[in-house]
Order: sequence, then C-alpha cells, then structure tokens
Amino acid sequence: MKRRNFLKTLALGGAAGVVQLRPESLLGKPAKAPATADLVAVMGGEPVPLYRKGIAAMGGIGRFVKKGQRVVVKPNIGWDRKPELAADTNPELVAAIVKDCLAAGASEVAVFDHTCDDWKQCYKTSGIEDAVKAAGGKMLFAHEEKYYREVSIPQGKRLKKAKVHEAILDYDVWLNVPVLKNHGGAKMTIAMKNNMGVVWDRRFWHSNDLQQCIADFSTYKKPALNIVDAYRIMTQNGPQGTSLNDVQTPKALFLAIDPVAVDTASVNFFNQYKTMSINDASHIKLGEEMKVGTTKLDTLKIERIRL
Amino acid sequence: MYKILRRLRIIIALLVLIPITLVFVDISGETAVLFQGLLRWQFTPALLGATAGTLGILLLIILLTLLFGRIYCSVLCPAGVFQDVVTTVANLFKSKKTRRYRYAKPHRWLRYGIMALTAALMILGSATLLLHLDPYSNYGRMAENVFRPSVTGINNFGASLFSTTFYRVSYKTFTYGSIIGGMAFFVLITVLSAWRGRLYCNTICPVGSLLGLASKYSLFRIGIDKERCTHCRMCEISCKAQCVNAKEEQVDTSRCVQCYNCTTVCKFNAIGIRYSYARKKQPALPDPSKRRIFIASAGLLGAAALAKLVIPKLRLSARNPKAIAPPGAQSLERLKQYCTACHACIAKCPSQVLRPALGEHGLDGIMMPVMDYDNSYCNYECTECSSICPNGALLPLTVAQKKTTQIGKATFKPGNCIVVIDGTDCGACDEHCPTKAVHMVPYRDGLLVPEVDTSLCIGCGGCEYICPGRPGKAIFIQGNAEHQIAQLPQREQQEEKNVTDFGF
Repeated sequence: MKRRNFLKTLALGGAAGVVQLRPESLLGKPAKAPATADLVAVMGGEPVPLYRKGIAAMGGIGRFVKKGQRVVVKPNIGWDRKPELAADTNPELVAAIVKDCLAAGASEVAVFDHTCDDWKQCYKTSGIEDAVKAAGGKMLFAHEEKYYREVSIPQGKRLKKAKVHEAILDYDVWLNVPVLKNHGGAKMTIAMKNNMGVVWDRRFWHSNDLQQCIADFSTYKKPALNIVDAYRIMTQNGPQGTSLNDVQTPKALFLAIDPVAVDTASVNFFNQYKTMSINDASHIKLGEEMKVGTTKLDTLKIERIRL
Repeated sequence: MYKILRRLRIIIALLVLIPITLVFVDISGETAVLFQGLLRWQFTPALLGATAGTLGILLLIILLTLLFGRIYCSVLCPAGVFQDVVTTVANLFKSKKTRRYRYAKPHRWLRYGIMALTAALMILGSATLLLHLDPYSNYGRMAENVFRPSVTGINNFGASLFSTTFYRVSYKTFTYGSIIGGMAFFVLITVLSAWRGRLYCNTICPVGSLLGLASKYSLFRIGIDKERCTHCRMCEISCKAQCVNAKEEQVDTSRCVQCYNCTTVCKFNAIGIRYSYARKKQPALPDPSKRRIFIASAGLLGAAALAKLVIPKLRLSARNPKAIAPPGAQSLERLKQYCTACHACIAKCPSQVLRPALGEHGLDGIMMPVMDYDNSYCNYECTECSSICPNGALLPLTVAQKKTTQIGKATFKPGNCIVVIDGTDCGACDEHCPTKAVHMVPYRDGLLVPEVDTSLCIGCGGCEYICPGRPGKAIFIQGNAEHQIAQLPQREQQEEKNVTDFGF
C-alpha cells in the first residue's frame, strides 16, 4: 500500500470509525488522523463493542478494506461445539467484522475454515454460518482437496510447499480471526496457529516439526489484520475442550497486523489465567527469528482500552 | 373401480419408493430425517425391531396381508416397487408379443426351502442369510452403493462447474465389496424383472414367501368367475407375478401381489377381488402333502443347526481388533443378530466414518457397518446412526449416552510416535480427543507425549484418524466385542478468575 493512500484511508477510516460519519465534523474541519497503534488490546465488554473500539483504535476497517475488494475472514471453526465452549471463534465477533467490511464497501465477504470435525456441523453448531449469513456474508466450502492449490513457501525450513485454500490466494484481503486457546500440541493456538486452517494437509505439519511448520507458513503470506477473540478463552484441555469448566470469560480482544506480536500479547494475557511461557509455544519465537514479526512488545505502540 | 384401485396402488408405491430412496441417495443429508421413519414400515426391520418398538407395525403388515393379501409387496417394499418400475420401462422396449406373461408353475420347494432356512437361522440367532436375501436391505445396499455414488459423481461434476453454489461431496465409505454386492443385486433384479416380472419375489424373497403363505388365508383375494370368464387370457398376459392360470380359471394367491393389473384389463368383469372366508374349499392347488413339508422343515432345521455350528468357524476374525461396531450396537454378537446391512446408518453418517465391513466382522458380518478410522472419525456430539437404524440393531442413544459408550479403546505405540522418533511437538491425537482420554504428559526437553486413560476412551477414533505416525499409526483403536461404559471426562475444577490486567 502506498504511504499516501495509507494515510488518506487512515484519516477517512479513522474519522468514520471515531466520529461515526457525522457530516458536520467531516465538512467542518480537516479530519485529524488519530495516531494508530501497532497493537490494540480491549477489555471488558461484549464482542461487538469490543470490536468497534478495537478496530477504531487500529484506524478503522477502511485501513484494511477498500471499496470493491473481496474479503476473506478466517475464524477458527474447527470443532462441532457451541459458542459457550470457546472451541471456535465468537460468532458475534465474526458477524460484526463481516458487517464492517461490507459497510467499508467490500464487494464480497466470505468466511471459511478447514474444520476438524464434519464441516457442516461445525459451521452450524458454532453459530458462525447463521451469523455470517445474517450479516450479509457467505460461507465458503473448504472440506475437499479440490478447494486448495499448491504454493511454494520459499522461506520455509520444513514446510517448503503447501496446498492453500483458493480464497486465501484469490481474495484481496485476508482477515485472521482466531480464538485464544490452550493447545495440546502447539501449546497455544492463536493467530499463527490459526493459519493451519487454510491449508489442506495438516498431518504433514504434525509429522514434520509442528512448531517450525507453523512459523514457516507465516512467512508465506501475512493476513492483513489479526483479530484475536478472547471474549471466552479455553485455558485447559484445548483445543477442543471437554466442558464449560475449561472456559474463562475475560471479555477481551487483541488486534495487530503483526501476528508474532499479537500472539505474544495473547500468551502474556493467557498467562494470568494459566501458566504459559512464550518459549513453550515455540512457533512464536521461531516466527520472530524468521522475521515475521516481533515478540518485543515494548518496541511497539500499544493501545490498551478498558470499556 | 379396479382402475382407480390400481392407480392408487401406483401412487402410494411411488410415495413410498421415492422418499425411501432419498434417505439413501440424498447426499445433502437434509431430507433423510423427514423420511427415515418409513424404513420402520419394512417387514424385516419391523420383525427384527419388534422388541425395540416396531411390533405394532409388524402386526399391521400381517393383518393387512390376512385381509387383502400381499399389499406390502406392491406398495411398501422398495425392491418390489423398483422391479415394477423396471418392468414398466422394459415393456417400452418390448414388442406387444414379448410383453405378454404366461402362467408359470410355482417353485414351491425353492421358495419355501429358502424361507425355512432363513427362518431357522434367525431362530438360532443369525441374520446372515436374511441379510443377503431381504428385499428392503438389498434395496438399501443397492441405493447406497450404486445410486448414491452416481449422484455424488454427478453432483461433484456440477460442483466443479458452479463451485460457489454447489459443494463437493466426499465419498469415504467406498469399498469394492459393497459396490460389487450392490451392483450384483441391481443387475439381478433388473434382469429378472425385465424378463419375468416378480420372479425374485416369488422364488427367492423370504419375505415374499412368508407373506405368500399368510395371504393364502386372506379374507379378500383375486378370483375368477367361471360364469363370466371367456378364457381370453388377458388377465394371465398382464400378470407380472405369473400366477393367473386362465385356462384352469385359477389364481395362485400365494404369489399374487395385489397389483390389480388383471382386474383392470378384464373386459368381462370376470376376475376381481372376492370375499373368500366362506369358501372353505380352496380352488385346489396341487397340495403338497403336509407330511412332506414337515419332514422337509425338520431337515432344514437340522441343516440350519449345522450351519449355525459351522458359521462361527467361518468367523475368520472373531477377535479382529478392527471389528468395531457402531455405538448402539451393544455388542458384535447383537449386531449380527439384528443387522441386515441395509446401510441406512452408513448413508446417514455425516462423518462417513461408517463403511460396509468386508472381513472385519467375520464372514457372517459381511456388509454390516464397521467404524473405519482411516478417513474419518466419529463425531462426539452425533447420534445419527443409532437414530436411523430401523432394525433396532443400533439402539437409539441420547447424546449423553453416546458420550460414554465405549466401542473400543485407544492403544499408544510409542515406537511410531513423531514426538518420540523426531523429538518435535505433535499432539494431533490429544487435539482430536473429545474426552481427554488421550492427553499430553511431559516427555523430555519441554516436549509432551500422549498418554491414554482407557477408562475415559470411547473409541471415536479421532486420535487414530489424525495420527501422522511412522511407519504406521502410533495410536489406534481396538474394538470392544462387548461395548462398555466409559467414565465421564474428569472435571478439573477451575475457578472463575477475575483478571483486570492485560498482562503486557
């Protein structure tokens, strides 16, 4: 994105987000670009207000989605579980994002995940299919190999190529919307790990150094924005969970362009509930080594918002 | 009047055949739930499921037969109606001459022999023979293994043209055995019915034979009025069951399926439904002596008992760990007692983890459903297979019951595990385990390795399915011959924490 365009949209998007398009303020004085943060953390509200505050602090959705663009939103819909169990991304959040993208002029907003459980049941039980359709978006199919195309990952150490869902390759904007969870294999599943749901063959990752493969894939293509759902989080028995007992409700949301940074922040947040070291979820540090992003949060401009 | 009756028969038959077929071939899986109740109106499921709630239906079918004859065969039986469809289509290609049927002598020994052997085996606790002969189950297998893959193929071709509107449908239940079996029955009844109408129903089908016996005592049945008959043979020519003997003015009621074709074509109103209770004297069919029947039955029972002794020897793999029966079956033994392999459960399974067994359950369990974790696993929240089974071979389970029904147990083989052989993180098995029977425990260098608590395991196969182990699976399910009750997952009590800081 050109710097000029970037600043323009920043100004417009930001203004639209903050002042909610009050015409007098747009006409009256030149819109002042709010300084956007590298990382936004919001806490203490329902999914929709959390998102509204968070995206506004990021400069508004217009910073990421231009008129006429096709947007693909990739939540975690891996499991046939109800929203309360925090195994999948919050449907209200996904719907709010879909609506926001459409309001920003997106020509199409599509949502998918390569689910673990049966795809139809996951889409339905998670509440995401209904929420997305009601918001004006559509669900994409991702349950068969035919929907994926092979790409090479030049910087990958173990993962040299992967079959990636066609929407990730063909759509203009990719928004990554994971849910914050503990994970038996990768230790944590947040933004970088959520990308496993855009590839076909996950078994290969598991059998070829899972943590390295997660880092490798994040060098291939970065989502335009990572929005981490921590309205409900799964603190144990993840990523599937066994009961409500595995769930905490911090009512938080983290946003950043840098997936390593947002994962680092999320782990630090998670650590307050359950002890978790960033070193154990080693794909995050590996991502930093591969220059995907930074774990040094103090070098970033962070905006912390409490509702 | 008979014209209306015949039309009614055709309409009802299609109203039964089409929904039943949809249960098997609707790849979207959305209409099955509407029509699956119809499967319980089949004779064999009603008979086998009698103890599981279909006794009423069974009695109704028998009552119907005692009143009006083999209505079941013409209206309810999907294989029977399918044959009528084939016959109708075949007649379009036949000349007027070759379209004509002629009275055929009954094959009594073959018919009742097969029936008696089937019954004897069932009494001795094996549905093996019935499985291969039952018309409903055969129709189900044909629909599931011939029609459904065809529909899937057409759909997936369409989905490649209109990829955003139509989705591709997976076909994971494929086995050569079931396709060959389904095709064989398809070819058999297509050829038989195109050639000689209801030949299958009146020589091989044990249900047809049984209902045929019952219909001999039916209150209302087709008969010929000797006064009016001109021996024009129109009735005989039109009889697809080949049971009307115009020359001798007789109808073999045991083979008549109440299609009313004969009554519709008769110009003289000579053939029609007669109230037959008062007529004690049957129009004498060559009556096989009762003694001979008795001796034959005894012989058959003996043969069946022998077969029953031999069959266990045929269970090549009675202890095959891959013999995993679906939830609700309770035990492999029970499955074999009640299942006639109609494949309704296989058609309904959204995960397509069920497929027809080849050798897994032994020879007497061939074609019965088996859990196959190579391509899928059993969804923790799903009870579809047990809800659709019309035979009561899979007894209905609530979701809560299913979650503790242990159909097998996971076994961990460290020698194949990625964590052990490569020293890298994996945890795919733990990730897929819904009960945390498989969970990760510290191994070395911060690595975690799976451990199995079999008391929690329900044998869903999530771990086995996803395991990337080398050279083979590092974790796999071994079936329980008798299903067990698993413990509920432990609830590691967690306090609701009130965190107000971001932590960074």
